[in-house]
Amino acid sequence: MNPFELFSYSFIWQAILGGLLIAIFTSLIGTFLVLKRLSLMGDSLSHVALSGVSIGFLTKTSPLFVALPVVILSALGIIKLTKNEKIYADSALGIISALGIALGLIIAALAGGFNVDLMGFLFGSILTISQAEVLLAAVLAVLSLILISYYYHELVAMTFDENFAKTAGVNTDKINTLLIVFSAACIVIALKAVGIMLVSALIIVPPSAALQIANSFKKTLIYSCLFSCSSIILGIYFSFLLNLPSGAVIILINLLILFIILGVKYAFKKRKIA
Amino acid sequence: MNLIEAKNISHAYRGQQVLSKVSFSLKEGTWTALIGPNGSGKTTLIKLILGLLPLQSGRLTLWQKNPASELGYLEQKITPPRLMPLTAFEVVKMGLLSTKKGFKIFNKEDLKTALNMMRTTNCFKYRNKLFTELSGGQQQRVLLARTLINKPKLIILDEPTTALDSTSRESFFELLSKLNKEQNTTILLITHDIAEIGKYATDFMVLDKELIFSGTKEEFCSSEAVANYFGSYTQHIMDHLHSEESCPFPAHIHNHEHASTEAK
Ligand SMILES: Nc1ncnc2c1ncn2[C@@H]1O[C@H](COP(=O)(O)OP(=O)(O)O)[C@@H](O)[C@H]1O
Ligand SMILES: [Mg+2]
Repeated sequence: MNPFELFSYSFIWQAILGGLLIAIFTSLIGTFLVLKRLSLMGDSLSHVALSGVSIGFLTKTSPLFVALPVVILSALGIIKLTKNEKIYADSALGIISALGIALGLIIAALAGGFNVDLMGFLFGSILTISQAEVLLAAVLAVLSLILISYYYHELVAMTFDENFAKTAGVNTDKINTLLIVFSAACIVIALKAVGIMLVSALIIVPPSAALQIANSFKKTLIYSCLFSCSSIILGIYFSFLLNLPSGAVIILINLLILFIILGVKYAFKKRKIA
Repeated sequence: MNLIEAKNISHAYRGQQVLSKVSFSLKEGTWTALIGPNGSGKTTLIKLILGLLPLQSGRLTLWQKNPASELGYLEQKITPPRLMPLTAFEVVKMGLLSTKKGFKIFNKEDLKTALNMMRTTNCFKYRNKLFTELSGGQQQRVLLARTLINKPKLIILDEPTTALDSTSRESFFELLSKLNKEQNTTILLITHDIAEIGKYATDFMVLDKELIFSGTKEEFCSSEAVANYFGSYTQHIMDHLHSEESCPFPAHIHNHEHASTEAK
């Protein structure tokens, strides 16, 4: 096959556009979640999404649009649980995660078991992204840019030192809630690209790679976004060329970028010492 | 004018009382040393003042409702994310956040102010280094610059000099002293070393779950409550108060945490 043949299909362009929009908001929001040690939040919320998606199948409505409010409500639940002094934050995430999967599996069984459509949500199916979903992704990408630029200094201060931000008059509770609820929405839409199993990697891996080389906060956001976007384009291209699952290829390329950066950094350090 | 008025402030963590009916007022222009053994509730008290902990009982009145822009706070210990990609300069700039409203933009003037403040606190040299890669003492100077940059009316410092060497401590206190004298900045400083602060402080507060003493330095030196509390150590403290030698908080005075656990 001509390696550029795939670009003649219009659905490819729709997939690339949707994927890039998803890459933008997950990598930007992910940077804050990773630094605030909340990266597992993505994992828990994606597991809750299994429940949401299954309810969508059971009620024969749009799985993604049903998952949206379910996951957002769980995000609010997580905020409440983590404020409870009797439970560690990471345990709270584990509890919500377990609830999401257990309920999700039962509802999925009631809805007729594991079919191709459910598999699409588990492992992602960026090539089947609909116009409505691309539109929703565009809205989230724009909102994430607005949210981050409007609250940029507050978010940076809160991430660095929350007590300082509070004494400087920042309404940290409001901004934290906003960030987490918004992350919930981002995770649901990002399922389309890489699936429930891998969506947290889109939140965690690009920022982790960016943090290795950036020497300022803005550069971290930019690199994170660039890494994520490149892996979407390369991922879609190679998965199509090699006939492999696109979600897995996208994440592997993200990981490859991280490992290359870590390897190069390690080699440089060795040379400096030698 | 009083910047802070506290009446019968009590606080408990999960049922364990750590502050009991603390009442005091903080006058504008004073430099108050808040002293007390480990675990005596000093940090808890200032976190209540700063609104970092919810007030459980008692009354607390500050000079204005939203003091953020007129307040400087240097925390005992901060733990920023290890990979936080923020330079020392950006950390200092952060101190101007409380002076901005709505969509926040830093202009050229702000950047100049930040650089000047870094010269003042002696951390200009490493302005472009990552904060997390600085030594404890270097970090402390950067944080001091962040604390002072909005020209606060009240500065609250929680054991700020523990990471500093003795010459840095000296210049740290001299800088605060200058602000206190020239700009009438009010200072509330938690410390372990009574003598070191004796040279600068105008007022003292001794806290040990309850407020043992609160008053001027002269009153401190002649207070019966202070004498009773420190016992045989009192003379030692008074001897050191005006000398340069250090005089840590007496180790034999146990804090309430120990006392109450021993009692159980
Ligand atoms: N978040 C917390 N949860 C439970 N106990 C706490 C907490 N913070 C402080 N304490 C306890 O409260 C007491 C007073 O602590 P603190 O105000 O930090 O004392 P100080 O600053 O004088 O050393 C100590 O016994 C400490 O163990
Ligand atoms: Mg303390």
